[in-house]
Amino acid sequence: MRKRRIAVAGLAALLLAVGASSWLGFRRLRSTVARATDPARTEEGRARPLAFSPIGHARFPMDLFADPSLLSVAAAGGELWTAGGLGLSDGTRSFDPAVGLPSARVGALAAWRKDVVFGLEAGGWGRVSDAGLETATSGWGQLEVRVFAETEAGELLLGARQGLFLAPYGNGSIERISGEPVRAVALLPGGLVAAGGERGLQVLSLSGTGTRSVATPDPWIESLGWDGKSLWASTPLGTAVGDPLAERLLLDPHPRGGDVRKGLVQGGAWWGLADGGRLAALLRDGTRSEEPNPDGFRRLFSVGGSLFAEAPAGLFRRETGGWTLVRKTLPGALPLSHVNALASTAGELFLGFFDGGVASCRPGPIGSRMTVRPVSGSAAWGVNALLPSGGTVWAATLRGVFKIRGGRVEPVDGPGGAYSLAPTPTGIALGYGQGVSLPGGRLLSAFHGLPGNQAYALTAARGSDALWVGTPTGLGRIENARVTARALPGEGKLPHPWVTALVDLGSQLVVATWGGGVASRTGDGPSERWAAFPETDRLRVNAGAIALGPDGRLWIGTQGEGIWRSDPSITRFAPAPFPLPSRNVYSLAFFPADRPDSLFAGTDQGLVRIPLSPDPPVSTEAR
Amino acid sequence: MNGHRLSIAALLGALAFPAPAQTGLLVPSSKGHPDESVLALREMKVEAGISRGYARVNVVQVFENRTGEIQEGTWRFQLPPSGAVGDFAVWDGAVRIPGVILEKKRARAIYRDLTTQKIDPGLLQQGEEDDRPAGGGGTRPSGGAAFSVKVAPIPAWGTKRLELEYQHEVPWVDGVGEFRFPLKPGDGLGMTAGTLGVRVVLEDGEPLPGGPGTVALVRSGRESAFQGKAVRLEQDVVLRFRPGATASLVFTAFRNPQGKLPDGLALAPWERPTEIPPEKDGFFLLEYRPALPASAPAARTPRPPVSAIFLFDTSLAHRWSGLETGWGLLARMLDLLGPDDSFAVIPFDRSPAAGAPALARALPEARASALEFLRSRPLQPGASAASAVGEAASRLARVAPASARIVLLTGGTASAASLKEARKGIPLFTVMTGEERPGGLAAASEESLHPASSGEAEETLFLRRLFAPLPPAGAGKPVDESPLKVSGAAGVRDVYPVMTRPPAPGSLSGWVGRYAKAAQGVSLAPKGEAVPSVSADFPETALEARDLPRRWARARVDYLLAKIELEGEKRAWVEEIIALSRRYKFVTPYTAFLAAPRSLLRPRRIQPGDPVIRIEADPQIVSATALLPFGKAVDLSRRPGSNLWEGRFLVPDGTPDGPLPVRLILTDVSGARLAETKTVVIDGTPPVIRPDVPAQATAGETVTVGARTDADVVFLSVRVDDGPPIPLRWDQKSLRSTALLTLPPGSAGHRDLFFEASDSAGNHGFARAGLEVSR
Repeated sequence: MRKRRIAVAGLAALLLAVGASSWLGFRRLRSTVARATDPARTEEGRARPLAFSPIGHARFPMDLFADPSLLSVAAAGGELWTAGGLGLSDGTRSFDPAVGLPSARVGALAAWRKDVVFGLEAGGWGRVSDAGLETATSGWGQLEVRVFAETEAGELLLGARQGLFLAPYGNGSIERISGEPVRAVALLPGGLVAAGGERGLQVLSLSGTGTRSVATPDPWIESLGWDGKSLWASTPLGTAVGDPLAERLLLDPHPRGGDVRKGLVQGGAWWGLADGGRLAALLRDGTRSEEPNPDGFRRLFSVGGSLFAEAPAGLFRRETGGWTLVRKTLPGALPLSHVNALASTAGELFLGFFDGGVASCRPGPIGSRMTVRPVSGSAAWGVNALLPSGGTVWAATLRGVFKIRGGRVEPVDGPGGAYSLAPTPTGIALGYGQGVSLPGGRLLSAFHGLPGNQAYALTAARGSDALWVGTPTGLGRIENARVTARALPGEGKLPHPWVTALVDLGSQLVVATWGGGVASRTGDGPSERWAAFPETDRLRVNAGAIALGPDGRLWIGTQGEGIWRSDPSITRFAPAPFPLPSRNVYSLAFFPADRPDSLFAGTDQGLVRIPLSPDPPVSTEAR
Repeated sequence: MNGHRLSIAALLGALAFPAPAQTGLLVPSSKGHPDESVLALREMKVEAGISRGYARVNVVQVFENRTGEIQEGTWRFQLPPSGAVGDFAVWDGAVRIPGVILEKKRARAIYRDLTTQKIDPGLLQQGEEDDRPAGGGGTRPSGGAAFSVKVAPIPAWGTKRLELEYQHEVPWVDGVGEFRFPLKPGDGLGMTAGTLGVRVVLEDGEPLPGGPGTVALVRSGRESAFQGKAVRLEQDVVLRFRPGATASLVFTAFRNPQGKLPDGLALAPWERPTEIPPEKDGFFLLEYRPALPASAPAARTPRPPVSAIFLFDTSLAHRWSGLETGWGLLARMLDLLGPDDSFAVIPFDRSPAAGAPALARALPEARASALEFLRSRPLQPGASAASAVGEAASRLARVAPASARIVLLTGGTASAASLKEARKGIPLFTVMTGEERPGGLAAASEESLHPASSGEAEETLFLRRLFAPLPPAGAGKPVDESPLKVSGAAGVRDVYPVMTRPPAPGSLSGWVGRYAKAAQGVSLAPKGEAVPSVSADFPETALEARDLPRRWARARVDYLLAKIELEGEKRAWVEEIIALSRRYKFVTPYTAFLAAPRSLLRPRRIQPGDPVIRIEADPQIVSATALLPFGKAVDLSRRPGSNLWEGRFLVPDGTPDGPLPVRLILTDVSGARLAETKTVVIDGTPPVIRPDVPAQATAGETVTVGARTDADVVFLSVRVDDGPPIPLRWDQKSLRSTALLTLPPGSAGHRDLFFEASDSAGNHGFARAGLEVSR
């Protein structure tokens, strides 16, 4: 009996040991298999799936206004394609957000076999093929492609912020060759490629082996070109040239190329625009020649052996007899892309630029051109808010508040950068980084009880002389030059402390925040109630990007989520189904102010004019 | 006697390491002296062009850190006596950091700012740290000095590339010009260059065969070159040559009314387009070569007798090869004395040697006796050149003023003012035998010689001037009247003498000036010189002599410096000197070369939401661009009426908090472009507050409340309910921030204390704590 018990115990121990070792072996095998098949850790893992999906739809009836500069040019299918601030075009067809392009600015363009590939500045890339407009998705996430090149073997080389990639045609895969950011590429003999970006210049083989770094006057490589003998590189500190395969691993600064910061190889020379806009050609022997710049050229392109130049008037081609305008600039020009503030009157629309001044225009009927004129010069710079009032336009800018009247710009004394403006019964209240300046000049700040100093949002209360102040640290109310109410972080009232936009509807105060969406406040004192719009949770509403429509709907501009709008009774919000030049909406204004027929929305990639009701049908069905 | 001999022997025997060379030496700070096992010269390239008595030299050196640690070093470069730096750059990895010319006060202010912030500015300046007196430094008021620059960091096992471009006048003696690029160290062993490439292009003139003890140049047409590996730098590069033209007067002009250089014009490595700013005026040079007499060299020609006292520095500062050089020069000078001359040799250290022989006829036995007396003098610490000069002046008080000379041979330094006062108007000739060339000595002297940076030609010229009759009173002072007789309508103006002054047989002199318009057959003749006039065509356009604009500018600056020396500083003159210095790229006593940041970034911490980058830049900056690491280039806008540049950008979503390098590309009025890297800190994280308050208190009581929060918080406050915020201050004792909070008398019950903290990036953090208040 005892022997039997011992035998059973031994057998159990043996089974346990076998089981444990099997389990350990299985775990080890599984981890080995996982490691061996991890795409990020294997040579094969450099290639990931690539697919194209149709995104084109019928043209949405809207007007798009943007910086119309051309950023890239390519020849494909016998057509000259251009790309820039207003999408891409082959001269007869235009591809922009109105037909499904995800965003307006196209920075890279190239022919790939019979297709045209494009890279969006906001990220993402795609192609125009027989199937129409298509967007690319790959296992590498959304790529910010800055440059394309087609290899002799017909593969597509993509230079992106995320690295250098290679996509064989029709293969359904894309391979990463390098993880260094790329701004420019040049194909070299022997299957080599020179790629340069923010962190320097590299020469590497398309197989991804044998990478070597080459020194340049500056590591930021803006342009690269191979002239058959030498590699040219333009950097912010000038142009360098040399043999990238030599032992020295160094490109020497061109003795007369110090002011050429961007260029291309054309006819054995390195062409670029030098200081003062001069058109310069550098040669390998250290010489330089210059040509007149007849129309203020801003960029140069080399397409099909011809030299092209982009200018405010359009695209020029260099010919034997001089420069010929081959493509006129598309209508709808803005001086800068990022429209940070908008305001309208009965006949005029005012635009404030994120990194510029104030401009104005007189929009005609929907579908017509409009001419935008700068009005503030460089004094008012970094515009955050605009407010027309009695023939004067007030501008809150990073350089303070300015009054613009009849083309004259008059600074208003104040404590530095300003962010918001609001009309009150006694004058204009000014929201500064240091507090709120009330009509009459009195400045109230956190010292006086406001929840914070930075007045990012202001609105006058309807039916009283109160003024609501939104700050990054809560909401305050000013009455009779005193702070009479506050909503502070931690009180459970605000969905987020950072209040970016305010509208007082009389019955309720709508409060938009950065990161917490929208909430409303009703009642006062003991009857004060706060309610959030849960569907807007986590929305980042941009400062001042709120507008009340003629039908009572409230519209808000968000960061990354486009435009949202409420129903007419403001009980819930939903995304507005309009194509936009960018999903980052910074400003909204209805026009004309007295009888609105359209909504202007300012984004970081231009301005869009959307006709009001009835909502036009938006077909997302691919063509 | 034994003491002296033993001293020299001991000093020479101690030369175990190479002492500073004239031409580019990187001294590791960790060692304090050159050490090839730490920093070795991997590559050196010298390219020079010589024309019209003027050499332009481009030097590139690549040093190699042979250690596994980051090194820093001091790069020293001794310029020829008339040399002026035109361009300088240090490479930081793949980034070329060019030096820029700034007003000296401004450069100093930037330097002080940066050192205060513990930022290594990579300062480079010409001359000593103290202001040089106008007119000091070299054979030209605007030229010659030692350059030094701190170079850091030099990465472990990495390299550091340095570039220098300078120009100098080529000395001519007895009809022979001599270009010298000194490679030989002043003392000890020379460094070894991994590779050495030398290319000298003689644009006018006939080269002569190379002499012994110099780098063997291979001649091919106008070029003389040398290429070698593992070259020990113990011989100088010397190119001697005769003039290409035989005429006494040679006219050359440069005029570029188009403003910019035309198509297809290749520039040599030693040329920079920025050296030739747009000018509607033309520039001309009239070279003058007085013919050599048919007799023996000038030093042996009859001359009036001189009475010279030679002051020889026997302090411990006068050592190594400097002592040898001084000794050799003294012997050479004594040998040039004739029986009609009288002399005395006075050794000095802190005071002149007691018992030194009096003035005596320069007979051979007297010369030998004087040298013997000198050799018997032991080396002592301390030296006072001024007291020695004063002693010499008193001994010469009774000799004919025209014959009196004081010759000072020293390895030390002295102030110009003390020497000028001590010499009592007697001409002072100074031989500076040290590695450096003290500006004070040169400024106080009629002539000065720095053998360590001079060639044989300069030495010969110095000796000739020492024994030649003194120039008439007023000679050398700035003259407003044109030194040339000009007939014609070229609009000639602002003509200044250059090169050897006064003209001497076998030397090369000249005048440089401007002209307003083209003219044919203009007659030019130097005033006071027995030479026929020359007929010159002032061209509408002539682009070959591209050195002339800068040469004219330097001559103009020398003229203004001499005026300042004579009449004192005037604002307009100083401003013109600074403007010319910047426009034509050369250093003057009022400007400094600075390889330092030219912008200050503020603030350093920013929020990711809507950051504004602001920099305060040098007033000369005309454009600024910020390059952000995520690929965005932001053109900065200048705020009207200020030096503040600002740009606005959005940090991409997902950018983590932390330092963000921002590269600033700045362009100044001259078109020079430089890059600087600053760091801003992305900080989107609100501060965390940990309140520390008592659980209970009484209404009307004053309680201490405290809180701990993040280190970057700039403001922390607390308030009771809706009361006013009260700031908390740091309390070192309790290691927290505290405030005294007085509770209102009627505040019984539960009260909320609200804490708010703001950090330097503008983030706000909040916390709440409860307090039970009893009556």
